[in-house]
Amino acid sequence: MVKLATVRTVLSLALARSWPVHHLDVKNAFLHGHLTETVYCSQPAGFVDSSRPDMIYRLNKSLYGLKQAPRAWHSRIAAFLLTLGFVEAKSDMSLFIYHHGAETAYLLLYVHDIVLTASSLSLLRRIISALQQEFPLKDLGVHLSSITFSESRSHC
Amino acid sequence: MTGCKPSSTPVDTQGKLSEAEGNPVANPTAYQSLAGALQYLTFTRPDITYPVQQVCLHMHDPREPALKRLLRYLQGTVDYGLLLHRSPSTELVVYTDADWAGCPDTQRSTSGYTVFLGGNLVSWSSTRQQVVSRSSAEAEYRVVANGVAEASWLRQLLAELHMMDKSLLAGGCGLQ
Repeated sequence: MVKLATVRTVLSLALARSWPVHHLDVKNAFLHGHLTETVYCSQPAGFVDSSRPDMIYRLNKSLYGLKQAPRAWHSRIAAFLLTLGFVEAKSDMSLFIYHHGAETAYLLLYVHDIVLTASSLSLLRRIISALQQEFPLKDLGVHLSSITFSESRSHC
Repeated sequence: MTGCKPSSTPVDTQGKLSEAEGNPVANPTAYQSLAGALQYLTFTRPDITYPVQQVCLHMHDPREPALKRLLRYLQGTVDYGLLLHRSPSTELVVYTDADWAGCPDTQRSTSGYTVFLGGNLVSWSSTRQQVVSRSSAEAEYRVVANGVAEASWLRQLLAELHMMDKSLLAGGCGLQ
């Protein structure tokens, strides 16, 4: 789990540098994980194949309620972020850092919730659109409840 | 409790409650559930970190006074949050304090620390110490060690965020 001190540190650095901060939400996050273990599941009520009622499913992807689901989801998104050029921070498993030349972005992951901040609005948009091509995503904009910035943001 | 009279402080400053003090609550499960929910509120409310920690010490045998006092305080301060200021500094400042043998039941001490990054509060903690300290110096150095450990973790984090220009670390503790 992400340390709250990491969230506050990243937000306070973003504020100091006037970086845009966006809150993103991945829809149905736990359905995106790929299973590495063998898991079977009985046919759900109402969707039983009448010609083969005795058969069961073998799952390729994870479902909500599986003990593998949180880990499978985290592995999936972590692997994807690495392909985008992010590096997983050593001091916090849920922090991903993008640092190439003058461009920097920080991504905080809390299960399906993401806080993303980047050194420029164009970089932020590029990362969001790359994420959107991989996962269904809801961009909640700059809404961060209970944390107040002492000065109004110039750009969002 | 929604219509209760607000209290200006979240906790009794006179002393800590011992286990059998006050009336047992009518519904212990509701107390435990509320105490659990209040732990989430401490994410943005450092002012209630200590009272919530105290409330959570009585989960096994909940008593009325501490939780009621805290809820009355929250009634008057529902709009409180955490304020972050725009600050160019990445200086880390740690403050620590401990009471000595504060817990009336176990004689263990209570630790508290806060870590500021460039004037912004980013990390804080209030915990009952694991072992009995035989002097106030013992109680104090335990929390200094924890505060410094948190600050060195933050230093590592700042280095990873490419924010560490000059690794400044300052501190103050409750020892006279």
